[in-house]
Amino acid sequence: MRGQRRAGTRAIVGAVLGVELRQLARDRRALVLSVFLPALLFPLLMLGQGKLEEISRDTLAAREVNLAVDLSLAPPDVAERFRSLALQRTPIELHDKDAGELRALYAEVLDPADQELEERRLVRGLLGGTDHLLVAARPDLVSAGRTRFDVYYDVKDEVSREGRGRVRDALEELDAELAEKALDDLLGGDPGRGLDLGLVDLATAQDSSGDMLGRLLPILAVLVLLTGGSYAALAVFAGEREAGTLETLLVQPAPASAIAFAKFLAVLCAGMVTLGVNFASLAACVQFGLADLPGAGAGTEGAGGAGGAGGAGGAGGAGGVGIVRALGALVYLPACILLCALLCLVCGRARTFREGQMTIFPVTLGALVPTLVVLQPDIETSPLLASVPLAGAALVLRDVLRGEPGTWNVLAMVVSHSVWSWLAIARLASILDGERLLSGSDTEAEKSQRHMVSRRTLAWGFGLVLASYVVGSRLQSWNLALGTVLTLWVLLPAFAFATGRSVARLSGASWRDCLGWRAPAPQHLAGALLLAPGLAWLAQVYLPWQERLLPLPQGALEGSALGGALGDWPTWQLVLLLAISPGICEELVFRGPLLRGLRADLSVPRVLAWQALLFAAAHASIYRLVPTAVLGALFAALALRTRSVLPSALLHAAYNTLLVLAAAERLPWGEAAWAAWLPWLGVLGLLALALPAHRAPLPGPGPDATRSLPGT
Amino acid sequence: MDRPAAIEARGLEKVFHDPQRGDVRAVSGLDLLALEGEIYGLLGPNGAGKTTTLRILSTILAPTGGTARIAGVDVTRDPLEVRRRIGFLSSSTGLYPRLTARETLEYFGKLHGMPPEELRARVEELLDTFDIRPFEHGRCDGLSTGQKQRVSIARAVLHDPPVLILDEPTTGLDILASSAMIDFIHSRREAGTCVLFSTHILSEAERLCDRIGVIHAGRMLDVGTLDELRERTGRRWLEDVFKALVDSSRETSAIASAPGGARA
Repeated sequence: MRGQRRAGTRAIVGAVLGVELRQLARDRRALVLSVFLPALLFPLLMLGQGKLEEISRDTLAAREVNLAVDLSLAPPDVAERFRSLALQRTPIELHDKDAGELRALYAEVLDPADQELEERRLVRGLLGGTDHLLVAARPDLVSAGRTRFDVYYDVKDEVSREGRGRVRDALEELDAELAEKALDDLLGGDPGRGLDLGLVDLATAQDSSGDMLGRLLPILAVLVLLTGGSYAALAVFAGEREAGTLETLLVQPAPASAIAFAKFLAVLCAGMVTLGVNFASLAACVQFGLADLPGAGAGTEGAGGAGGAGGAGGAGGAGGVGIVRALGALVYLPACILLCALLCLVCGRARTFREGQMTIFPVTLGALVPTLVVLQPDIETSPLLASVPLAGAALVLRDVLRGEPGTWNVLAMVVSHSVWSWLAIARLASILDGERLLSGSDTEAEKSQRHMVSRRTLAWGFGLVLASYVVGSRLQSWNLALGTVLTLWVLLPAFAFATGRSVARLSGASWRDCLGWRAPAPQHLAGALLLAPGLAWLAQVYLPWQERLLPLPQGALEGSALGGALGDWPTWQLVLLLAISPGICEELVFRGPLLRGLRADLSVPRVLAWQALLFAAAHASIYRLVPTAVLGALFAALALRTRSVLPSALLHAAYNTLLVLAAAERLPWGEAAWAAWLPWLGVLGLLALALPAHRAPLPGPGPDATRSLPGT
Repeated sequence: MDRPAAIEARGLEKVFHDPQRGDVRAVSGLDLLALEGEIYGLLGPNGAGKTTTLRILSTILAPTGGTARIAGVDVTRDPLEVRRRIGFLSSSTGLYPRLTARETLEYFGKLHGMPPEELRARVEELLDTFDIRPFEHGRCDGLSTGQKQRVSIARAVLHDPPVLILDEPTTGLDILASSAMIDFIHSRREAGTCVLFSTHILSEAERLCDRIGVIHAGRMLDVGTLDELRERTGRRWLEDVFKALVDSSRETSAIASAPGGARA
């Protein structure tokens, strides 16, 4: 019976997958985005760039250069030889010019800056007309017996630049001739060279190629996969909703999970085809000499692969990493699956194609940022790091291509990414949940009302940011401690109550709901608390990176609360002021009415984006922009998940406390062995937050306030 | 009334929960009984709860209260089995634009798990029955409205379901296509199929239905043949019958919600 059911499900998956692929294959836009563009991208890019360079070179090479020379101070044989060599760089017109004033200037001893100004003025006068550049010779003051040639040109003039190149070629040839002659005459060798230099690279050609490709391929794979996969994801989910076929599909005797899985497979196929075509195109470009990648051509073994493995194999062969490492790149497959599943989850929730397109950029950014970790030179992959979605896969792919795959790292990455992918795929069925898809319709009046709530909330949010800049910063510059207290305990609560009143009045919700004052589930509260050490550990890992990219200016640390005015405060007072107070007051306003008001009309990703922006902007520091933005989104996600402001307040306060203790050197992060376990506490916290909670229904409109939906 | 029930719903309720808007009650304590070979019309204005009721019966939405059975199968306990027994036609034609008419029929046949031989024979039969053969290889996005309608109907009856659920089947159709749809519904009665369809077009209901259920604000106001409804309301035209039922419902609600009024 179970076997029959499985066979039936397989048949349904096959039927849906076949139809989705057939539709994609008949969709011109899908074909252009998934096949033609990726295939033509590299050849067009390389050919176009090569052709442009060639045209530019040919055009300039055909232009005649008018060269004015004053060689009266050069030895006759040298002057004659230069003329002869310069005239070989045709087309060139060479004529003598009497630069007497310039020669006189050479003889004078002036301040170098004045001399340079005068020199330019004189040469501009001499060049006025048809001459593109001037070459003037004079005896070299540093090395007696040698001649110095000054080449005057105008970098803004293309012909002048071209002439500079030709003159330099002629002078280099002349220099080589003179040096050789002098050595032969005097020494029979080069006196300037006391030793011979030999550079021997211990890395093989495969290692060099692997190193380069290891940094390039993960980023390329993410971008290409998203290009091909996103259109497919939009077409199979949002496109189906727009075409009105989804409702028909949902009344067929096929489980929604099977349908969603088949659609995901179609997206994965489209993404992998795009990836394969793109890499094959890159490999072909390298093979036929169109692209010039470092390490390419050092080895051609494995070149010319095809298909999914061939995508990696082709690129691997092209880069000369060898067939084994190229095949090893298949370890990235779980990340490809995860990426496509995430694409389906995000694009599939879009109600229209257009709405779905708006989500592509954030998804691309979200996938690209962790992948960029491969560009960091000193990141050592560890099993924990390998488990981080996408970042871990990128690092492992880099290591595999370099020929340094750690078995545990590979294992951790494959297992963790398979789990992440499974979790994402398991959520796919929710995309096709009829309740979610069909119960969201409301009237235009209700829509505009909800829209107004969000707009008004945003206005309050920006008002809060402005007030933080103007009032908060002024108060804190007057007296840091008192200003901080007033900002946190007066300004923010005032905004919280004003915004809450506005949201409650417009949306008809209760005050308690608007402020997020609901008792959370105990497991969620515990999860928030457990998350704090993991988050603080991440901050300790992240901040040194940022310091390298965006170093704090001199004196910034002294100007900060802990390094400056509050440096001598007892730790408990610091915790109270800088950890507990922000945890309560900031959450009260940001995750209270601001979150509730934004959620009235906006989707969860948009709410998180606005929360990140407002929270980061309110902190008014370019150096804390990224951490505060991430924290803003994270706290908002937590408040949405738990439907209460308390867990985010607890996490905020606990996280700040740990950072304050670390800054006050009360927490030995670096050397303590227990610090290594902190991230795992965070994982436990996430698991606790993933646990379901009994949700009491929100108060309804009342028995006599029965409302009906249009189209019902 | 000796025919067995094809659709049976008792105390059906549907409350949509919206975090922003609170609870929205779309269907409230709705009873519905449609017999085999009967054409049952669900009549109500926009927003009355017709589509939600049909979506519950076709298992797209789960009821928040009450029970519903289609051809003896409970919609919440075995939704897949219910789907095997119904043919559903939404208000949009719901065809895949890049599939041909033949491919559409084959696809939905596969989703119903029809054996290949049986599917092939059935598709050939339907191509002839609904006169689709002249454009069987044409992609659906290139078909006329009438042609699309024929493909949609063929798709809905492909697996020969005992129950057909049609959501405003004539909305958006021109006169000819609308007339063809009405003829099709008539033809189902002879085939012994139960047809439940929603409409807000009174003339359609008058012409087609064996029985009419008048629905308003998620509640079934009255059910009966046209003559029974006329008798109970004392009005001749269905439009007046409908108005009388809605007015009566409003009066009852006002009395129930007044201080000292009827309490549940």
